[in-house]
Amino acid sequence: MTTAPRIEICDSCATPHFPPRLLCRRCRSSSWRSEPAPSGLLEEVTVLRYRIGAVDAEAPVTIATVVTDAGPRMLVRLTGPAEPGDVVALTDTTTGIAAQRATRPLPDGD
Amino acid sequence: MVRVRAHTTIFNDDHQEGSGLSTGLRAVAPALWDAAGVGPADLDVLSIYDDYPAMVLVQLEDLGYIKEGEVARFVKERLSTRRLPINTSGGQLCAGQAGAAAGMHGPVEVVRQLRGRADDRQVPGAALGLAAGYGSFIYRHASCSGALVLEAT
Repeated sequence: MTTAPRIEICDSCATPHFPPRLLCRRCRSSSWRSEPAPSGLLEEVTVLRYRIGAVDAEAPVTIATVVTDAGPRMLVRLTGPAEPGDVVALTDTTTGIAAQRATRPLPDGD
Repeated sequence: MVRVRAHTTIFNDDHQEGSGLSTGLRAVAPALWDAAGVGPADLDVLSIYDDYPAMVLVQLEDLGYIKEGEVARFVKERLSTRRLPINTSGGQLCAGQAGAAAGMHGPVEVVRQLRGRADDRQVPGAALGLAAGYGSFIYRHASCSGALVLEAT
């Protein structure tokens, strides 16, 4: 079972935030509800070909920017082939948010 | 003596939703030049925060030194020829990014220039200088921009 990353929605004005904030960027409220962000649109892709200090420093890692369906952008690790413009499914993992091209109807969230 | 002629700062103006290829300086530069009573062409020496070379060009564009789409020409005509005295100390790209002290690297060099104490790198007659900074990485790119226009009195 996978868990979608979550975004915070302002209780007062419904502005979505990611990462979480202390205060709403629009109305300064500090009361939130949390919603899953199970998918988004792949915007940009960058391949990291060398990572200083990593055990497998020369193993390429692909990171990407995803515009979530709820609005906020997330930095993610791509775990399979995907290109800008693709719809991707998002998973919260212990090492950050992972994304892969959506191949089946997306779950509602958690 | 050196006097602060104008200063500005702005925090997280795009809420991390931008491309990262412009800074908050873009929004506050017009007010900065207005308050200083001078424009980009009037300054004798600049310190631009150089955590990465590309970010120097981004800030110069935001401050009005580079016209849209003319970065290559600017580098060729004004940087490689040294016609624009910028980061005359060598900047952080030479000195290293000294933690919390890094933000003062640029202002210190501009003050030295305006006091006429920049040794063999002295810009002759330097009377007006600018120090710009960019940092405080939040999520996708840095969030905080600031700039100082300084003058010798």
